[in-house]
Amino acid sequence: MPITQCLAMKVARCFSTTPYKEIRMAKDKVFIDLEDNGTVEVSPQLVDLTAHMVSRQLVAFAEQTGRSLGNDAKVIGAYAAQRAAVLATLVDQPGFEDAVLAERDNVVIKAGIAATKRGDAIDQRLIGIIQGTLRTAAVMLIA
Amino acid sequence: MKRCFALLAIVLVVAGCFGTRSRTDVLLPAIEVAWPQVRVEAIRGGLPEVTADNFGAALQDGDATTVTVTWPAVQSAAEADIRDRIDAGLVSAGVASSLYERLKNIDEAVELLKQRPP
Repeated sequence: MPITQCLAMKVARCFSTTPYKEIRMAKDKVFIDLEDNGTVEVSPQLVDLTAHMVSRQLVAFAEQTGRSLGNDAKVIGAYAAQRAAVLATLVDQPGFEDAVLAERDNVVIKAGIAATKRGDAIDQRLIGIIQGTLRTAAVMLIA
Repeated sequence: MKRCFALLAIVLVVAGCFGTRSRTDVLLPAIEVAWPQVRVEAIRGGLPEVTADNFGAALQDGDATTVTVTWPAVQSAAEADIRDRIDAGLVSAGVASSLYERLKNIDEAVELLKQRPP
């Protein structure tokens, strides 16, 4: 199985907020059986997109909110991309699912630290954006 | 002159409250996102469940003082668990670095909380 598809399957499992019964492999493809008896195929290209989405969404959020995040969003976005790249090197290693969750947490906490240092009141929204972006990524992975 | 000092004092107090609020409103929820995973690690690493429950409750209640006081014990236990899992071959060194990075980030957040406790 190509490494990107393997990553897609594991990331989908960790980030998924859509109820599913099973994630399975058939030939060199990944399928997810949903609770409502539907089945979807994971696109491996979406895995790379997921990594970019986190950073790009944060930068877009910074541009929308202007003064509140400023360069912090770019710093956090770069950090998110860096951690996503680290994740890509850990595919198939023991404990990979734990690493995916840890990296999600790392981005959220780093964002909280950056925002707190600036003392902005809008910080709570940033955490929501990160979580929302990850959820969106999960939906995209299994859509 | 006294009025000026009084106004300045009020401004400083209000500014201080905003700083504190920002810390508790942002950092504690951020740590809370990671807490379910870190809790599992810490308990496996020997942290008493009652201590874990207190830490979790403090995060929910916005009790930064309890969080900062309890964190060192949580961190030590979680680190012990990661070491044990590396030794047992349950996590790779690369995965462990992600787990350590999370503890490092929480530690940094806790240090920020300490700078201006509520």
